[in-house]
Amino acid sequence: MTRTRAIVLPAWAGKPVEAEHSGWPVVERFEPPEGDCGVGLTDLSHRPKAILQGPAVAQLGLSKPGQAVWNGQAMAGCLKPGQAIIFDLGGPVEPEWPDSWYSDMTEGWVLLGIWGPQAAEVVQRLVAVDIERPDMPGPLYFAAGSHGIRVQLVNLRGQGPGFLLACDRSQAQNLFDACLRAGAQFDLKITGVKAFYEWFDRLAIAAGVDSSNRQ
Amino acid sequence: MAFLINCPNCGHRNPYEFTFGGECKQAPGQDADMKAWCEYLFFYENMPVFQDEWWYHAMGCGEWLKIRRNIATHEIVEV
Repeated sequence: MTRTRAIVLPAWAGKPVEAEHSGWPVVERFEPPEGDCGVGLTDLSHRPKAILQGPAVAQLGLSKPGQAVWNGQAMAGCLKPGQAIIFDLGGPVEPEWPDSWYSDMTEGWVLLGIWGPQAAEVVQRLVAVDIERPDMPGPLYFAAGSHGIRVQLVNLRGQGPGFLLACDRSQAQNLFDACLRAGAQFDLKITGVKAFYEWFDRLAIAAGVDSSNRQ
Repeated sequence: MAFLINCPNCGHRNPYEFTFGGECKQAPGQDADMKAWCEYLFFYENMPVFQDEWWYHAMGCGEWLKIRRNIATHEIVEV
């Protein structure tokens, strides 16, 4: 099955070097190379996403809305009691969800990674909620409005600032353009997944998790 | 609108994240006449006092919340 990208990449990002992952066109890197940047913006829409409902939410260790957990492969965030969101960053691109409590949203949502030293400054310009929540330890999950779009946001809280943003596929270009505008003054660059995972692997190692077998 | 709604799931949020669902009203019984249904569907009290209202957190958790709000001052006393 051939999938299409929901986002049109601007010409200034460079020439994308693409690969196919289970039918998804994935930008591995750009030519010329992206180099160092204040903020990296990466399209991760090919990664599996799901809504999880029912008793399995508590089994993931999610008891409180806003709480998120990282198991070395996927990030799960609690939206409300009995409902959680799964963003799988490390498993197979064509996942087999364990049971019918999972609703696959891979085709329905886009997923963006915003990472780098000034990622928090960019995200703070996108949403009007407290993205740090000092009262809650560990990764955080939010659903909030941004530019009239319902945006889901995960603050990964790794060694450096890093966030995942998701919204409906039909709103993908609007969210992407909003990220570009918010990041323009912070040296935001559009990157391929290679640059994202180079950063992300440092986060995983810091968490004591081996993600070397990622697909 | 200068007030925040304290969503039990998401915390204090801007009311523009919500969709107003109208006053909480008792639906007429199945045997009620058209006039009663018309009043239920199309007419509101809209008095400048506390009233119970439905608000839908469209940009957040997707829950319907029952809120007791003073529509003159926007003071919210119960969610």
